[in-house]
Amino acid sequence: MAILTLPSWLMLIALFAVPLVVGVYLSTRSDKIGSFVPGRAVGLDNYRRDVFQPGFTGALTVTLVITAIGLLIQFPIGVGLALLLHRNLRGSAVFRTALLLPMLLTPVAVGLMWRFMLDSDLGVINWLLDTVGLSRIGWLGEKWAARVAIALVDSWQSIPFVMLMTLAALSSLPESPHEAARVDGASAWRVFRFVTLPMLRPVLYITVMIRVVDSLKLFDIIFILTKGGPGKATETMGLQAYNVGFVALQTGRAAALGVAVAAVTLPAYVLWLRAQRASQR
Amino acid sequence: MSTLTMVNLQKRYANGYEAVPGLDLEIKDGEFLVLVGPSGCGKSTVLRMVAGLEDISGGDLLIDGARVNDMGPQQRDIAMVFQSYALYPNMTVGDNIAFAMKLRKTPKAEIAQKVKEVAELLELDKVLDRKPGQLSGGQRQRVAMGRAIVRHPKLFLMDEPLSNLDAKLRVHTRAEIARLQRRLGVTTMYVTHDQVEAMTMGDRVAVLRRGVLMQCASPQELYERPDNLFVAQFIGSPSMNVVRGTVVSTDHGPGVQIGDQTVELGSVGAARFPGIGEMIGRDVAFGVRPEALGGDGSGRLTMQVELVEMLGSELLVHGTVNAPAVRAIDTGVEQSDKPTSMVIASMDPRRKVEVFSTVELPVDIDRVHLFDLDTGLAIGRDAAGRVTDSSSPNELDKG
Repeated sequence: MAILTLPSWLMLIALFAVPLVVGVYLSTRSDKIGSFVPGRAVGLDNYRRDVFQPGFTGALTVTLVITAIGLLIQFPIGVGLALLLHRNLRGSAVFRTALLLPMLLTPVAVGLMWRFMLDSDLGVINWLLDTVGLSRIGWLGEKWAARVAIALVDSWQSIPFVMLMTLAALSSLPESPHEAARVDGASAWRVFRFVTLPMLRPVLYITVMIRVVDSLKLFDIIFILTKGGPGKATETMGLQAYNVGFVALQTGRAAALGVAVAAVTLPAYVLWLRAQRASQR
Repeated sequence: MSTLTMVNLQKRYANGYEAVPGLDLEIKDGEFLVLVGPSGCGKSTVLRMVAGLEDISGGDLLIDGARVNDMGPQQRDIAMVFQSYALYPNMTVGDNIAFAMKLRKTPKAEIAQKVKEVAELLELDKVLDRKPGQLSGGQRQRVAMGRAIVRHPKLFLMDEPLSNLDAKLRVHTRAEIARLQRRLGVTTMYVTHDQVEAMTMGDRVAVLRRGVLMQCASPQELYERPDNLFVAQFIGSPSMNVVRGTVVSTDHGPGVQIGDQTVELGSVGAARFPGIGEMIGRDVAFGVRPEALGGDGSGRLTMQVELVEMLGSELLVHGTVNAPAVRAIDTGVEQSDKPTSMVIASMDPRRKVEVFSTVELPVDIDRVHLFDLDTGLAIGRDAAGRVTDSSSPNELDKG
């Protein structure tokens, strides 16, 4: 019977194992696209030069900061919307459909749309700030504003996912522990805090892990919005590897950075798998 | 210690369905009242209205004389045991039991002391650190009980708490619950569809059909003096035998003709059913419990034996008589189209009865019941259960 899984194994090897092995191999070489000098084996030089350097740790910090801001936005709003929709109020179906729309758009389209909206001179966001009497913000031109803007745009597209996961989990929760808590004397907030939230925890854990992994890989929205700027304020690990590989055309160094990104992301994957197992118990 | 009073309590859903048209019921201080009825009769709805988990459409709900219709479950000071136990899966057994006290900001030392007492009482002291998922069905049931009894509430509400247990454990646990309730003396309302549970546990049993109270009385009263055909057939296992008969006059007083034979009621029957002399020629439903057939008695009923079941403590003899069966249905009373019906007699297990033989069984006239064929009301008793002239019985479903 094992032979029946052979096509899947071959596909997995071709699509994942081979690129991984080639990537690791390239990371130990000095290849450059368009160079007349043939590449040679350089051992761990690429890692010494790029990975264990402030440039990479800076990109790692930026990635983690944007991820953290994103999670802080996505989860309270996503879970809140799910709780609201779970009450099946009038108009919930329309509201739910509308909320899912951002998830259906491509990140490039989302990035372009938000770049116009966040434009410091002509953007609707600053116009709105003006209208309510607040000062304009240079969304894509200031260090922290740009990081928050990226996290906001990513969140705008990811909140529906968090909401859907939470809503599905809420629908599968038994009603009786909630009723028991009300009879025990718990207020609505305490029912949520002590009964609903703990029962949602496995699903929320998995959702966080998925979002962390997605955020660590975030590239397209940043590329469209800031290209890593101002300066290197929003240059994430993925963008740094892109710049080295496809702007500077140094494939060996870019491969080393790629391997480093995979290594950084790996613990999140492990936690994700553990969360999945925990939720199945 | 509290009383619970329902005055014309009503439940109507948005689609117009009337689950409880108007219920009047009072539970006395410290009483164990069992609400029993077939599936869908509205008993759980009533319980949930009392708990505050279901809105009340009309009428009044009073706890200790105070109207609580508009109070949330948090404000009613009640404890409830759910059918599914409704334990908090993320909390340990100890935390489940302590949860209500923690919400009330009870001092930690007091919580620990009470949890310990309850755990010892319910033999949960060895599993206090376990989560509900690691417990057996019986242990979960006891945790649910522990959660209810740990804070002395005004009312205990129990919604079929034994239905998920196996038969042996159910018998054991129902005795434990009854003992516990009597020890604590907390007013209790218990919902079940199992009439054996109802009969064995309750001080009084309220029988519900389609949201209407059919009778509320002690288990013995319900069994021996049912107000109507529905209660007569719902309570008791095997169910009461009920066939169509005609009231006739015999040499020895009134009787009931069942097919081609007559069961003489004699002077005992005349006293049991006052005014029966004026009912000569009228069709009635003749009811007799299996144990009132085949023992001692002055009446006689002949049947053709179809099946004999030896249960050890008794012998159940199934036989046919030449009269159509009568049974209570949702809309009133239904008579079978078949000219014969099956009757069950509970007899001494030492007695030999052959299948396909014809046996003449003594009928204990003192335990015979007659019901009106149109309304299903017991003949010879008024709504309060008093012996009366029943020539014009009330409508059964006027509620």
